[in-house]
Amino acid sequence: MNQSNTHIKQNVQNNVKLENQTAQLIIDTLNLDIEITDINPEDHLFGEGLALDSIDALELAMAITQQFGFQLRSDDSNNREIFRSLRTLTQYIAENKTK
Amino acid sequence: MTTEPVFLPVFKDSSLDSPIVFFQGRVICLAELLQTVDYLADKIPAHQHLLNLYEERYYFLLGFLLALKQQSISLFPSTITPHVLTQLRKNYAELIVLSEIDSEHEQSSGSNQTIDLKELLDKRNLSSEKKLSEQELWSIIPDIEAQRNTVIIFTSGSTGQPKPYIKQWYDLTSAAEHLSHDLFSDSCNHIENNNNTISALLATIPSQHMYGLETSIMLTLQKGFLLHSHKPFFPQDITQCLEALAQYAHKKNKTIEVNLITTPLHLKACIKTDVALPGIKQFISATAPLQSELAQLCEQRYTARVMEIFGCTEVGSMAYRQTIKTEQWTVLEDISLKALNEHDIQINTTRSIQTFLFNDIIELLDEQNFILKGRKEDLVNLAGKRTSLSYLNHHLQTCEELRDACFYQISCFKEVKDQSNNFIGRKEDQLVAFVVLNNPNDMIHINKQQMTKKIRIWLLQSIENIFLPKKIYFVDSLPRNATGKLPQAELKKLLQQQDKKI
Repeated sequence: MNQSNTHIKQNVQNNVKLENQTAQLIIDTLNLDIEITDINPEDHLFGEGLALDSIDALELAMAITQQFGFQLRSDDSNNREIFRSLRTLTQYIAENKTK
Repeated sequence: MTTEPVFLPVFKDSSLDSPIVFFQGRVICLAELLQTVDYLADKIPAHQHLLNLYEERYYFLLGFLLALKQQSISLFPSTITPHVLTQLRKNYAELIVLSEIDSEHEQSSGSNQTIDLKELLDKRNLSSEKKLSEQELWSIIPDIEAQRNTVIIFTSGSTGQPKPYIKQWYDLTSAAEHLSHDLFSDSCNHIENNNNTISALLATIPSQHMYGLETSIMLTLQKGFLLHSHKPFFPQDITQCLEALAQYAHKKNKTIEVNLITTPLHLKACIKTDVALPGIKQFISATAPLQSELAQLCEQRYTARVMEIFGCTEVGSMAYRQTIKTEQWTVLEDISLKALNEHDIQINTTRSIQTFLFNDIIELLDEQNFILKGRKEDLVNLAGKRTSLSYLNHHLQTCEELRDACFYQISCFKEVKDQSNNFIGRKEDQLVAFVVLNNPNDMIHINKQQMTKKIRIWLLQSIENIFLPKKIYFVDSLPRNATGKLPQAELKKLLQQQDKKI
């Protein structure tokens, strides 16, 4: 799976890299017993997909703040969308990260 | 023997111009709140039961006051799933649901009425309303008979059916009175205490939870706190709410003191992300035991006292402690404790439940003081929500793909490390499930990931997200003993075997 993607454009490569980083962060933070490749980027993180819950969302928020240097906020009521899938979460991190 | 009924006020320590709720950047005072309740009361048809789903506390408060005014009973189920809604509609006559109309819970609304207070308020024409006199305003919600049933709050029970607990008006006012006496004695906005400080409440927990109802809602009504309408989730949300309150106070040339009503998890999140909490005066924590190291960090970082409340849905708030000072809990004045035998400790109270057995294992020091030792085996407590393994098992076992199944609770209490903020592991327990398929031969063919999804979707019909098994193990059989019971030790062994396989 992790074979070289050198022929793919740089930004796609960055996204894949960040997506993997985010997946690893989820796995490490929540002590999940799975590999990065077990997470389908489009699968729901909550509910039937990875069965994450609100405690997990808060745990993840702490880890994201520490690793990517920004605070999550819910004033735009976008929470549900941000945490919908690995892909949406990665997108949100890409837009907001400061480190 | 007959005794004269006693009537207790809804707003005990407020005047009509007392600030009650901070909503959308402004303060709504008691007179305006009452006038709004009066307006809404005309629009809501007569009913017996009210299901108030609002998270925004302004709307919740309006709904709660409407129920008190119209003498209906507010229902607070421990979870809102389609299954629970169907059951409530079946069991409680003339049920009205208060909720934002686009709420996902209302997809199957059927014949029952859902009312969005926001919509009704949008249609309101203030200029055409008659201005009520002081006397008229005070008579909108008359004093309530102490023994009147005002709330039914549910625990998940142990047989698959939610268990209702009726709260009389006195139950709610008594808890508020004693909480205020023991935890907030120097910080209420009493009418006579008309100084330069505004005492406010901000809560990260739902109003529908017993702890949230008693602290955020009842303390506001009975003790004259200013309640922030939001329920912040992320640490930064808490900061924003506090900043908004501070700005308001600044404009009024007053100082603000905020009590943050929250959970150990949120306290941990504040410390870990190192957010600023301007104006914080005191933290109140409940729903799970708070580690003293974390309490210590909060007290130092924010120069604010950290108090813990111990309680349960059945009785309500029962005891408190200042975590950094003592591991002992002291009961509120309307509670006393008595040991029935070596294992069972009875709670006696002047509240309507009168007596109740502790769900937890405790060491009784005397009638007023105890130390918490752990919880009884069947109980599951995640993020302040309680359920029992029997309840969860009941629903898992009805999944038609499965021949046998059970939940298993893994204790994740980690050693506290005394290092730079990195001291605390995942504090909550974790749930996993063991399942036996109808046809064990299927084990070779099925896609475990798909089956896991299928089982979780099934469970979501009746149990809340938070109780979904984090992991599902497919096994050939469960280690049931001769009486069909599942000894915890055997399940622990099974888990170790399974984890080795992977």
